[in-house]
Amino acid sequence: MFNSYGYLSLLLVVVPLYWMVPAARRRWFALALSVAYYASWQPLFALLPLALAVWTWWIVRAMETEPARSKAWVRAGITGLVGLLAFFKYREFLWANAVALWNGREGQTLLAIGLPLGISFLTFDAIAVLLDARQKRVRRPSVWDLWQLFGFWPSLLSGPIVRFREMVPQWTSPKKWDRSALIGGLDRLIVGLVQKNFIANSLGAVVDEGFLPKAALTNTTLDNWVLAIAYGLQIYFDFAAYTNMAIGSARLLGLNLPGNFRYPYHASSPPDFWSRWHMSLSRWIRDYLFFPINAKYGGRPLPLYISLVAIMSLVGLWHGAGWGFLVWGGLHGVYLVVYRMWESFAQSRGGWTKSAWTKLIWRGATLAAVAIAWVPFRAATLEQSAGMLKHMFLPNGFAASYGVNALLITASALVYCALEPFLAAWLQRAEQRIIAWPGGQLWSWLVVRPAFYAALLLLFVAFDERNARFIYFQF
Amino acid sequence: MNQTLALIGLPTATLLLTAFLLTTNIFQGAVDVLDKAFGAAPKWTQVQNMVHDPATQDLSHGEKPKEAFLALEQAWAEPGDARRVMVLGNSQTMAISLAPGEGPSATPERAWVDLLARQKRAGEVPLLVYRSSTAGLSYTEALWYTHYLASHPAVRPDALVLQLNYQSFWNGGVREGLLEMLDDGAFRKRIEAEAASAQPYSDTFVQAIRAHTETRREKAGSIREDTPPGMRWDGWVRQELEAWPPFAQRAEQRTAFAELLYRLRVYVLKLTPATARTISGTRWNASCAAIESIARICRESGIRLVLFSAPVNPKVNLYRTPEDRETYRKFVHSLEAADGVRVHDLENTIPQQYWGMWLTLPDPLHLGRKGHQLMANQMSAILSEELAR
Repeated sequence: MFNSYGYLSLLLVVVPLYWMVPAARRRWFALALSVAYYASWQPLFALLPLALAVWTWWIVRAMETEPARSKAWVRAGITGLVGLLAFFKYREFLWANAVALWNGREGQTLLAIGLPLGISFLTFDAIAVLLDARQKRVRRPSVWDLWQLFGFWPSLLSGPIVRFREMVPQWTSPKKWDRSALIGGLDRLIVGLVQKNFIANSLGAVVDEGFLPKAALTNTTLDNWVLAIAYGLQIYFDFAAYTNMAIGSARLLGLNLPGNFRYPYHASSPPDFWSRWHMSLSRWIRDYLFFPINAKYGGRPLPLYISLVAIMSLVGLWHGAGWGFLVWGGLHGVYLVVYRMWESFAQSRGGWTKSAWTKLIWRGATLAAVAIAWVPFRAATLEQSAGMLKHMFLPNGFAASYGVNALLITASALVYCALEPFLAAWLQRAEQRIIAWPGGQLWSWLVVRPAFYAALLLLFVAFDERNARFIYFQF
Repeated sequence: MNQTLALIGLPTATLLLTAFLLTTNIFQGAVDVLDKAFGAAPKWTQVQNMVHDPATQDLSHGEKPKEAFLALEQAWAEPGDARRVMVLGNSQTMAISLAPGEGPSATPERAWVDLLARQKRAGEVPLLVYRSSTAGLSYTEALWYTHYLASHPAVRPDALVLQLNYQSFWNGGVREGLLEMLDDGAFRKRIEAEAASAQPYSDTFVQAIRAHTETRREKAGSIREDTPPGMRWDGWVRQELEAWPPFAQRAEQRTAFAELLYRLRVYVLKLTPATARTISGTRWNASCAAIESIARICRESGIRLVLFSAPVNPKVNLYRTPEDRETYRKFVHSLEAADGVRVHDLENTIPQQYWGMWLTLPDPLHLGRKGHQLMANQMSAILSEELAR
């Protein structure tokens, strides 16, 4: 895990070594490290990225040699990948529900096989290559390229979901050492460490208690709203922390991974939320699902609305094999449809529909709607989420059950979340001012930045918890 | 600037400064500055020089209960004519915060339970009094203790004195230190039964069992062959870092940081432990159900349950609305009606001048020296009456 001392200590050794290796061989060094990284956590599946690379390469090759049958080949390729994902991830869920449907009882475990780390992300990376190859956006990839793409350790376990054409050229034309790689890498890495250990884990303690299955049914209305917001913040800081560390690790090697978050809770509407939340997934859905389906139906409203709900439900299911994830995705689909309908209405009316007040209402409604959707995503069962949602809307007392600290932790994280973009801009300006001083560059590098990093690292170490896993690891 | 200087200088300076910050507890410094700035009472008014006696107190305050119960077994091994009394409560039962006019003492001081233990051991009807209190005790923890007492004859008391405190109904969970008690088979069975029940607190026990299992697995993991190499490596790095004292003491930084935030809450937001509040919802329900279960277990195990409403400083109002007070009182009376236990109301029994000023913070909720003496006298009379019933 990126926030483990084991990983950080290795990074201290591996990064200088990487830059010492001749430029042409760095990619092989990185590939070896990636295999070692995966094997260090799950030796059994260490060659899974290679297996997917071989499969993808074979399908792409078949498409290129038989262009007339490329559609059939891409279908076969995707079926194989989805089948693999279904086998590892949805086997138990499908079996349990099938048995329950058949005889009304819960099904027995089919086959006890662990879930390979990062399987959902690997599958999407591979599908993207197949679809890009069919569109001729990817040509003649080698197995090595694909293995490198799928197996690159910073993005291997939980993304960002990368594309062939944005990563492979970076391998084939390696950069010279540049100190911006160090700054860019350390900035992301250290901020990520604090986001995870200090913010997300603190919120996690509040959320874990509030979402206990039986107890949650007696939560007050205020509790449930606070918990929905707290979980929204926890999952954001947890996943943003992971992504920051992934991007930071890659930056230290002079490589750029796509971003995943752009202050999502500053969104002004549901589509805006999805342009800021898990951006590499949103981009994937937009390009490989939404655009083709929309094009097929010529942008007609009803098919568009149905496909939005269906696609988002699938996105929910991609997160995990559970009805709660499906409901979460479905709700987001409904939000997108409602917003589209509103947009059509607003276009025909103008005037008040475009006022500052309307925008403000949409901003608030988006945040509330996103918070509501987190309840089924986090709750252990549909019954629990129904109970909690019921008490969010039907009054069940307005006092707080979990003490002042739970409220204060959530409120502090919320305020930080609101100020995050301004804080980032302010820090940047402050650094520019320092650099403008005589000898400011040296000050910045040897005093100001190290002091800032050290203060953050102190928080990371003080709030260290062994085996504090990232939420997105389970997906 | 030279690229090499950048490559080496920045990480080196960062690591050195981090090491420096770890060796100097700057959060504690900030805490002291805040206390000074906001004119807090002098710290010496919190008595540090307390009596320590493993025969009458859990010295670990719930952090090492196995060790404490072992000492108790020895202390209670041959009770003779004496009756055994266990007291469960929060910091009010074990801390002294000196009141205005009370000065420091050179001799170790006694909280009311310690005074009671000394007084009663030599009394006509000798009592062996033991205090198993912890700061911020939750009623789910009190239930946890009760199960242990009921399932272990060697430490089963004749009377269990449980402090009822309105604010404690807002506490929940089972602290990490208590989890080691689950190593005991008979006790674990009882807790598993609670976890499987439909009680509002049962989730807490599910969580506790899970945490205990994980801790045990982790401990075993360091030697298990199927531990992934990455985890082994991480374990090794941690172990090496732990050998460096400032790193090993990082929890102190965390505590100091938490204290800093707590002070900001108290000084800036004016949200103190004495702030009036409404308690309802999940933790209230869980606490009420836990106390009802304690009463049931005591009845079934032949333990006399003695409940008392904790004294409150007359200048403090803990209830946000009159309805809150009514709800609390109603619950207390329901216990009397349903379980035949008496709840001794000591809420307004200690005059304002006997309350202290400081307990890790400006604090009006803990008793001074004289206040503890008054409490010991009251409880002595209550115990005599209860054990004669």
